[in-house]
Amino acid sequence: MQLNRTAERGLASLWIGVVSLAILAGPALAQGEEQERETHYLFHYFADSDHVHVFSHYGQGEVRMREADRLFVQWNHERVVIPGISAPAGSPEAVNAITTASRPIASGRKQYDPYADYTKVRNEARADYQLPHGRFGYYVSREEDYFAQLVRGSWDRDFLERNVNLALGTSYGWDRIDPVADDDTPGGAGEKTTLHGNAVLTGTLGPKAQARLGFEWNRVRGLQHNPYRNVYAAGTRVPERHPSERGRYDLFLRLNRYFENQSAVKLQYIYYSDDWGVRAQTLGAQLAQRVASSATVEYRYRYYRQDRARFYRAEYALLDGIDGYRTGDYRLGDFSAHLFGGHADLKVGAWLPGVRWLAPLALGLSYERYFNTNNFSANVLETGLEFGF
Amino acid sequence: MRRVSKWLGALGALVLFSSGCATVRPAEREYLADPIMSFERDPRAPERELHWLEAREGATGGTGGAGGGCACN
Repeated sequence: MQLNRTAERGLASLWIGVVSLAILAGPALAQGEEQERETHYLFHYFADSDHVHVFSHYGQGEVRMREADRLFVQWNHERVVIPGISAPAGSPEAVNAITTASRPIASGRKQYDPYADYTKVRNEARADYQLPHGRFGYYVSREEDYFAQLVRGSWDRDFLERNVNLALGTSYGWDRIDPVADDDTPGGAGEKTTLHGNAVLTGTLGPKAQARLGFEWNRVRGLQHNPYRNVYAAGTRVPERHPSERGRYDLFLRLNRYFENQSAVKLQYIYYSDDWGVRAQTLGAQLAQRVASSATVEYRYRYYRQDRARFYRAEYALLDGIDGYRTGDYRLGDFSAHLFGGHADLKVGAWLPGVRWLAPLALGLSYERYFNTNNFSANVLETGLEFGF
Repeated sequence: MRRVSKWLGALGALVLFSSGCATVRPAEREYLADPIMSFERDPRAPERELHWLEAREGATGGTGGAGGGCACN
């Protein structure tokens, strides 16, 4: 734990150094060329039918370093509010809610009181350096009970007179989980690592159409269940237990087609499979339409369907579950989901040409509605402000 | 058997993709270069979406890149 905090302080210092370097060195490195920087602010709000609210504030900056090199930095401050149990204390509903809760519960501590809202804060920082034919980056995320880091890199190259592009990417993430006080689970720290690889081919199908085909592979090792959640097995409650290894694969195909009325239709298909037995398919369609030289809108629909994991059951007859594993995670059951959404982008300067300082300002607004066959639904709202100089 | 059919499917998709590609000269790429034709309107949007979707669904991916953290909200 001490080592973890020392590492965290070191990484925070590194992060501050990278940002300072970007701000101070940016103009010098881009000397003799047109300066090009962008800053973005994004507010992301999520609210679901379980009355969970998530407020995310993203700050992003992008600096041209030299020639085509770019440095991108991002900071995200996120607050998750999980409601307290509303059933009367001691009632069967309250006992069940406490047993299956995926949040820490400790009756003697105010912030973990089962009948009070639980608020969790997450801070995230990342930096990516873009080269003409590749990029590399670092990511760090900190929560009260979770510390995650990730390094990644990618390479890409054009072929056939720039009609085909091949991109190869990889990343390695290592997470530390330190569960806080919880009345009905044993706790215990754990670690998780994720090794990822991907290959993506993008090609032109004609002057108005292009396609993208990709394959992704993930090998996850370590603690993969929720350390706060119990499940009912053989009539009693026992901690959730998932396998410590998971291989995850997906193949995706995307097609974009341009139409003369300044619109584009985008189709997407994803096939997913893992060695826990989950199979999933996703179909997506988008219509992007330019409604004025300074405004575009996008409409979107997404359908998702998945089968259950081999060890998923609504109830377990044996204490050992299935092959020693048991879960209370509905994400491992079978269900389908729909998502409808819309997005609008507006270049403010074009609407107010007399105000020079507004010229590089752009606004974005998105709304999405998600619902699935588990009687779960959510609203997702995102507003963004972009300023280039 | 299932693994073999999975790889055959991937290979088939690759062959179909390759045979469908056309040579478009730079001067003919006006429509392809239009920002509304980009695969992502914001390169960072797929990661933000994956962050909340991974906490609600059992699958992942489809973006060509990896996210990080626990995605637990």
